[in-house]
Amino acid sequence: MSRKEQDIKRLIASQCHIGTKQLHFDMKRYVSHRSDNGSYILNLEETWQHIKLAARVIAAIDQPQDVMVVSSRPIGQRAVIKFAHYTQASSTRSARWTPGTLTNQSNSASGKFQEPQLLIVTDPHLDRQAIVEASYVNIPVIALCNSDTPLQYVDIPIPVGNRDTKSISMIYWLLAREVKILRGELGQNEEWDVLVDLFYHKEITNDQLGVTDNLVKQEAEGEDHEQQVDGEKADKDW
Amino acid sequence: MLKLLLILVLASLFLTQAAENQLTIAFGSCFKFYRTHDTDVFQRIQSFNPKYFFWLGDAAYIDYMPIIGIWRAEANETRVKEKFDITNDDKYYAQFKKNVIIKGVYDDHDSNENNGGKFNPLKESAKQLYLDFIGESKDSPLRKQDVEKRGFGRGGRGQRERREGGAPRQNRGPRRFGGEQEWTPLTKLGRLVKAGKIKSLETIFQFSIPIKEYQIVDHFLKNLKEEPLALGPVQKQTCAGQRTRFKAYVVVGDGHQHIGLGWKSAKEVQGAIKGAVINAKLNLIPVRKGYWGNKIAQPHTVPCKVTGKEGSVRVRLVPAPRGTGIVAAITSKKVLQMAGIQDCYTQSKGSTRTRSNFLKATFHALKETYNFLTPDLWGHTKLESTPFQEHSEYLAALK
Repeated sequence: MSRKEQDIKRLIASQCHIGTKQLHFDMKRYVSHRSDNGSYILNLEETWQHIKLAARVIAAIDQPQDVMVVSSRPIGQRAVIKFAHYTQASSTRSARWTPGTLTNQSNSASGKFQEPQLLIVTDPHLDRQAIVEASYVNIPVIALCNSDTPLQYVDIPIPVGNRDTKSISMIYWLLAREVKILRGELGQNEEWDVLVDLFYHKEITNDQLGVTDNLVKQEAEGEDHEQQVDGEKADKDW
Repeated sequence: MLKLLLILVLASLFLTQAAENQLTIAFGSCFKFYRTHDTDVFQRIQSFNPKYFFWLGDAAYIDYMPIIGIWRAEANETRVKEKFDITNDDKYYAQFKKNVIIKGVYDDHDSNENNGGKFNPLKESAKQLYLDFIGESKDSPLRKQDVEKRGFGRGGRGQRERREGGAPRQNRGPRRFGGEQEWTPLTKLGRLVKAGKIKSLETIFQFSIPIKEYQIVDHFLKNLKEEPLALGPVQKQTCAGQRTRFKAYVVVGDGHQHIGLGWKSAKEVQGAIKGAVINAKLNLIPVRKGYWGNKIAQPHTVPCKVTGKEGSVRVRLVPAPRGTGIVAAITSKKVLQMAGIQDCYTQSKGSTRTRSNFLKATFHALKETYNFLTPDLWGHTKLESTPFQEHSEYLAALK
């Protein structure tokens, strides 16, 4: 089985090909057909080609940290951080994209002014602010696009159903691997020892943190108690 | 002026009682004394028995010419020394010096220029003479200490419009709060320009890089002319009446092939103009010139018919034969002149009385000159790497 076939299988397994029930005109060329339940199925051939193209663009940037990866979606954040880690790119640390990150160079801003040469975005809908700012400063944009995503200001769309962490992570994993191959860090047909699972977003519940429901309840009550006391005090003061 | 000194001194000593363990400090400034009459200021100060006296500035008005009555930075060292000697020789000051420790703040003696010594040709020697006057020893470290380049704009931020005995406008030069401060670039482009990595403005235009720091433009275009073209009050209604600000439109150009249009609204006219100039530099564009007919000598007119629009105003620029001059309304004409266009026919439509829109429409029309694909641009252009790509190593090393 060739590399390409393997990758396509990976994409299918991660359900990258399943889009939404809406179709945007811009994405028409990346859609293969419509499934029985109404979802648009994306053409994985295009997806694969665009991953290759995107990887080339990323690898062409001399300084790895001039590539910036963004995800305001929690399900994409881990993937973005891992991608940045393995390709030495820079990523946004938090969910919120501070407006002016690319455009506000004044010292009064919280020193978060960045001037990357390339921007990779997980969801053009939610990361709209980042894409718009990139348009102000001549920064090309690579974006993971679903079937209902407008491609305004997106230079290289990667068609993928970006509603689930599996599909997003798979794309970033493949991208990172391709970039490493192009940079010579990995052999052409070498298997990358890092697993996709590392890129998956995990919901961390209280159980895992060792905080039981009782503890949470106590704390909440404690707060109320404090508030009551304050209320009494306030009455007295009056 | 003497009164001023006295008041300052007295203010410093007011409500203090001479006590054994009390420290009395006196300070004063603006000592404009010309031996026209005797003064006993220092005697009066001495009566308070200060331990220290601080000169806070303008210890001698070395650039005031009392007979002629003008302000000009002194160009003669002997005369500077003379002026200091006037104070030094004063009989009361001599006595004063013996009893009181005298210190001083650096003073560039530009009295009223307040520009950090920008126009003072004798800055360095004046500093040494001042230190002599204060009584610093020859080998004091203060002699070598560099001056903090700061001037406090007296009319800059405040509400004062009248300048007392002010310098003629020509002498002041471009006003900057903070005198001549070093430019610390905040953007990658700024850093490259400052380091001299970018050879010309055209490189920046070629790659459509947004210019965010006006110093970049200043770096490349030294002889940029600024012309305020429209200035007017604009008002906003508040619960306490109207709040008036001034909006200024300024055109900036080298008269050759660059032009910028900027606007700014500010509380003061001066501030508005200054801000508009900066805005204009940020909005700088290259202007493409062409020929009307035969390609002899340098291009003199617009390369083709171009039109710009803003609001309801449409401005159309049409190539004209050499010698025609600029056939346009005064507002438009000024813009075209600053862009370096020699001959041009214009047609305008819409409410051109709205100066701002008229200016912007003309500006947009000029912008179009480089947007138009003429046959001579049909050839294939080689793809070049952007300055950021080219100098990426240098930029990365800076961080």
